[in-house]
Amino acid sequence: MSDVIVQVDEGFKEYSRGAERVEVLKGVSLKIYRGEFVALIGPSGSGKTTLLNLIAGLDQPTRGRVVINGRDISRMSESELARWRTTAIGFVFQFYHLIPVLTAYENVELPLLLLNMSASRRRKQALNALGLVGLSHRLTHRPGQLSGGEQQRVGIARALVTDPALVVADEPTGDLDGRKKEEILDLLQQLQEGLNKTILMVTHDHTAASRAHRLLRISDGMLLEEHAETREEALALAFPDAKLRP
Amino acid sequence: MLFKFINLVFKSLGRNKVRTALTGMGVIVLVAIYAIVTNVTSTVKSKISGGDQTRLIVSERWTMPSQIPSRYVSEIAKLPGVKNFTTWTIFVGFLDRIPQADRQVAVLSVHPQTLREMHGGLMDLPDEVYEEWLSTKDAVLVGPGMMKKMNWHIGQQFTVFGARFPPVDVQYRIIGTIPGGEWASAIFCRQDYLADASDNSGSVNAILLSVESEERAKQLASELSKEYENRQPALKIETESAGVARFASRSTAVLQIIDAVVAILLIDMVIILSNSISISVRERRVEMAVLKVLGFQPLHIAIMIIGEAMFVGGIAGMIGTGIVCSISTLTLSGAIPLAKWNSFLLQFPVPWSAVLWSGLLGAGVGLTGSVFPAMATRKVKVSDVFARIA
Repeated sequence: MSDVIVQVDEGFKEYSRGAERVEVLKGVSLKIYRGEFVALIGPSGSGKTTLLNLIAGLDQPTRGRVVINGRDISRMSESELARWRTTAIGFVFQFYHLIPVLTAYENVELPLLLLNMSASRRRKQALNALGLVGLSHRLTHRPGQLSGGEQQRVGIARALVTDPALVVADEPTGDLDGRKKEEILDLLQQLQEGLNKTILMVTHDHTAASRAHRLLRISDGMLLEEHAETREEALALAFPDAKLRP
Repeated sequence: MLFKFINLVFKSLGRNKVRTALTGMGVIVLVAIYAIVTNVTSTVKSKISGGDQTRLIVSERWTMPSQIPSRYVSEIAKLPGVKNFTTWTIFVGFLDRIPQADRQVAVLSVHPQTLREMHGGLMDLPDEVYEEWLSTKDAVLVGPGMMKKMNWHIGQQFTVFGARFPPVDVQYRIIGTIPGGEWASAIFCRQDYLADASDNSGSVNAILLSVESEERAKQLASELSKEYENRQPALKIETESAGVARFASRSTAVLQIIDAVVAILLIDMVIILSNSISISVRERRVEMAVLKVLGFQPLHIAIMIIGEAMFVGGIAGMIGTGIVCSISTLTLSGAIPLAKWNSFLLQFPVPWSAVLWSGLLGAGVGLTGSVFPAMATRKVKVSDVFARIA
């Protein structure tokens, strides 16, 4: 686990809101190691999603450097980033964001269309990814015919289909409850352990965060220094009222 | 690469079936109108530009309607370089003794032996019909439009009560129909029969000459003009193309107006498609952002949007013209009863080849109408879209 896969050095991000400049990230530096399952937590508006966007190559830092798997992506053009994302990053969304007119299989196959790959190989990889998430029996179903949990499984299969080293997940259980949430978290954990994927997950949720190896807490655009000795202590610091929850 | 996106293009069209269908129907109607109007104008224009330089029209110089003495016909037909000739005499009258405007007809009497050679489109007349025409003095050949309009049938006899003084009644027998196209509403009878029946063998309205070459036609026109300049009556000789050009100079303004209407139709089609695609793009901003996250380039997304519009435009264009062609074909074959709304298709039948170019036209309209909405997808910034959702 000594291999650094994500490195952010002094990452700043500013947005303009009319004439006003809003600094969302204020010099964030972090490292994530290959095979880690990291939860990024913090209150709303703290800069979690902005940081995730920088790491996933969806946005560029105003200043600073973002290095993923040895490549500095902070100065890439939009089209270079798009090409890079196809194979380097798997993205899992809170609201699944499957294409409603495509079947589960077609949704998973979608990123492979951008690669120079034969139809048979595309099929093999898409079926393999759907098999990994336990949806081999739902290939021809459209998103509207699937439950929320199943849709998120399809979303995860789509994130994995190009075999990226890093999977970023933005509140992947935010739209699920109870057993479905646990199932998705189990699945992410299995993938991380079984396939040695690095997972960076933004979450508000104590249960989800408790599955991570490490917590990164962000507040007001800055990563907080952790003084906890163990993950349990870190969780207790991050979610002081967690025990009060049903 | 692009071929792989075709599935996505097709499936996206099914996203909002009602909108796709309504957009398609809008284009179908406009393309159908476009096909009809351009077919009419292009037919007229081809007639204007394609007037034959080897054919001469001889008419009386100073009097309307032209009355050329029959003795001129034999003189002129014998001139060197004249390959073929016919005469035209128009006999106007009514189908009932009491005149009614909708029962008025004009029977064109021609030289029987050269009917096919001297009238474009009549070479397709079947041999057996032509033989009967040659052997039956009171025979008439009627265009399909006129047959339908008057509800006539082959073998039927009818009488035309002459509209001019002295009144002459002429009885005819229908022996066959002629192909549609420019003669769809014509009635052809034999000049010798009209001369006998009306007791007027002394004059014809016009002489049409087919000359061996363009050069000889010009020469002949010049010679005849000089020779008949001082005879009584004097003659006017011009090439068919010159005659058509004279007609064209009067109809140019009308054609220009029709061209403007056609241009407006095209713009309307572009607007319909553009509007529909713009709405679709706006509704799918999140989906496009997701595609960008997955690695799709703005160009890929633009191509898919343009592909959808071209597909709808192309298919709708083919359907629109296909409907017009079907109606045109069925009208010509008599399967659809002739009515005022489709009678023009007899004069201007729409060819099936138009379906292909209408498909291309529709696809072109789709391309034009979708370029700007497709370019707008470049502005979809993934981080903005997700921030709004959050």
